[in-house]
Order: sequence, then structure tokens, then C-alpha cells
Amino acid sequence: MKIGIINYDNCNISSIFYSFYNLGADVEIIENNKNLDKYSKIIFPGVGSSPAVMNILEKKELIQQIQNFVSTNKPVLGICVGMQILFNNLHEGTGCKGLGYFKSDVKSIYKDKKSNIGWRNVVSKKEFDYNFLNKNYYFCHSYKVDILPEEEKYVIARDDETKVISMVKKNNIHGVQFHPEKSQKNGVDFLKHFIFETDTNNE
Amino acid sequence: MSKIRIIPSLLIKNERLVKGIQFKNHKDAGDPITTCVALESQLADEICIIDLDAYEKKTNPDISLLKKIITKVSTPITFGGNISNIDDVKKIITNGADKVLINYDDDSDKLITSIADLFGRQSITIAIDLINQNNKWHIYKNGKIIFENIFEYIKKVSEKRIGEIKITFVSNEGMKNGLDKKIIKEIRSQIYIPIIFEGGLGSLDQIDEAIVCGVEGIALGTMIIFMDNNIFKIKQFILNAGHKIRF
Repeated sequence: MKIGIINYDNCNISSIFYSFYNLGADVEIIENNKNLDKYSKIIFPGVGSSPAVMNILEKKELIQQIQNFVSTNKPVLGICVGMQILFNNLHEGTGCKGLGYFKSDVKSIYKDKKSNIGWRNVVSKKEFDYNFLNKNYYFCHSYKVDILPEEEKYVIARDDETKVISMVKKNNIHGVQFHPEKSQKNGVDFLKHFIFETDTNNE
Repeated sequence: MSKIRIIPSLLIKNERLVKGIQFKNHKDAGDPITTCVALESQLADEICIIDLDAYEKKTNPDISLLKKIITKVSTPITFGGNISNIDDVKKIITNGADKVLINYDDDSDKLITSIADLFGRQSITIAIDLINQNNKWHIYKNGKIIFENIFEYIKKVSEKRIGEIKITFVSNEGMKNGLDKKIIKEIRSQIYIPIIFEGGLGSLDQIDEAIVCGVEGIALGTMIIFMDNNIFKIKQFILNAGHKIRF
């Protein structure tokens, strides 16, 4: 069961790699145009601006490979900007198109504060039997998902202070706005679950 | 009000942790890797690592230590050390730091833009050092005063495409006299982006006073490295004082 981490060159690839590796996952960094069939799960890491990330994915000719992978309904996990690129229009910088698995857009954060940096408690209004709610995770971002009413059903949790969308899930596409690889024990628990308990069946 | 962030500030020289007073007289303070692991288990909210050698020898930051730390900890890391070009930043972030610490001056604007374009504004922490002369604070860089009006300067910097600012009261560093409350209140009333303060904290009561003045991010050196404190104890105190903090 191999897990692949997409490398967009300018991202925190090392900390993502070690967080999986230290948990005993069979993990590999994915570089250029590569057939992704051998992977059972794929990670889109965080830290980066979304236009820079999309640009690299195009340059590395990975977009079609990613689309093929997602169509098999194998699990993918997007972290921070890795979650944002799963959405439609990304308004960061000069703006660009995301991968479009969610129809909603990604927009700039609040007027005054500009960035959401720090530990936030992640909560849900819905009744979920999900172990990862009501826990603190580390956030560091300046853009956020602006959800469309019809996509509200994909939102699992928001942070309890800024209300930004913190966890989304649609079929086997998972996204988190926070950094599990930087969230100490709570993050480790979350990643462990993704590695060992999320399977290719739509859970 | 957000949860207070407690951020140990670690100075590195020859791959060893050091601590000084007013940016001088640095003494050995242990192994940085085991210290980071210990700080994580004490629930440090972030760790700030500064390569002092790079500043003193005017070289590029050395990331060999960062590479080792990142294999052992899952705590957010801000890394600084005479960062002067985008290649330094690329190396630092791909090797596991979340934010880079940039010492601002007028030449920094181009660098800020390229970092924000590539990594996003939240990955930039601007370091501003304040020095006290004749009972007045000034902006201090590379051993000299570069600007007189600190509020005008901090306001200008806060409007750049950056994530947060780290303000250090250099003249108070290691002195254990507390932060300058009047200055903090005034800064907080004008600037809304996240700010981390450092320099002079020496007791739990001083931490409480600083939070009451509006401080959300506290960087601690002396209190953690050379005094009988640990982060868990400090956070417990902050919680008991009625503030929001993460456990």
C-alpha cells in the first residue's frame, strides 16, 4: 500500500514526508509526469501560493495523471493549499483555475487580519461520529474556501474562531485547511487514520 | 481573541543552542534537537529557530540543523538567519519550516513579493528589533538605528504582503523586567495583523500583564532556557489567569 506525495518543488515536502514516514507508512515523493496507478493514496501537501502550485502541476504534466487517479475513487488528501487546489476558481495573486472537484471558490481572508495563523479548535454543526472534531490543529493560511450553499454538505468542520472551512470530504476526496503534519498529537492521529483506516471503498 | 501562542525562541551557534543578554554574551544552553523534542512534548505552539552564525558571519543561513529537527518534531517552525534571497527561502521551506523570519529594511520589498508569490503571505514573519536610547524606542538593524518613529515604521511594514510581525525589545532581552506595556498597547491599537512580542519577560505575572495589553503571540528565550519554567507550566498559568490557550 504505497502513499504518494505530490512534490510541487516549493512546498514543505520534508515535513510531510517525515510525518508519514515516522508513522510507518510506505511513502514516496512523486516528481514529474508519472503513472500514479501504483499508489493507493495520494497527498497534496501544503505551504505555497495556489497559482504557483497549479503552474508546477502543469509543468510536471501531472494534472491528467491526477484526474485519472481521482476517477478511480482512491483516497486523496489535500492539506492547506493542497486542499484549496481541489476547488474551482482560486483568487490568489493573479488568480487561476483549480482542479475543480468542488465547485466553490477560494478567496482572500478577512479584511484586517489578512492571515489565519495559530491553533484553532475544529468543530461541526452536524452530528458526525468522527474522532477528529473538537480538537486543536495548526492553521497558517491567507486564503480560504468560500463555500456555495449546494456544497455545504461536503463541509465536515470549521474552525471555531474564524469560521473558516477546515475539513471537507466528497466521496474519497479529503481536504483539510490546517496542517496535520504540524499539529503534534492531534495531527498524528488524523494522519494515522488516513494512512491505515481510509480505504479505497467510499467510507 | 485568539488562543495565546507560546513560542520558544532558540538561537543557534555552531549547531548549539545559546542564550545571551541584549543580543550579546551568548552562553551555551544545550542541544537544539533534544530541546525541540522536549518543547514539543511541553506543547509549545510554535518554535522559532534563529541561525546566529549567519547574522554574525554575514553568510547564508545553514539549514543542516533544520533538516535534522524536522525528522523529529511536528511543531510549526519559523526559521531565520540573515535570509536575503528567494533561494534561501526555498531551501528553508522545502526542508520543513512553515515561515521565514525576514529582518525588514527598504531593500526587503522585492524579496517579500517573491516569497508571497511563491509561498503565500502567511509564510513571511517580519522581524523588527527595537532599541532604547534616552528612554525612547527606535528601530534597530545591523548595530545601528535605522528609523526613529517606531509606530510609523511598524504600520508601514504591517501593510506589506506579509503574515505577521515579530517585535523584539532588544534592550530588554534577558533583563527579566517585563515587556514595555505602553508601547504594546499602542501598537496593538493600530495594527491588526498577528504580532509576536519578545524581550524582557522574566515572570509569569509579566506574561499575564502582556496578555492583558493585547499580546497574542509571546516568544520566550530566557524564561524557558535559563529559568525554572517549562511551557506546560506557563500555559497552565495563562489558563488559570483566564486567557485562552491551547492544551
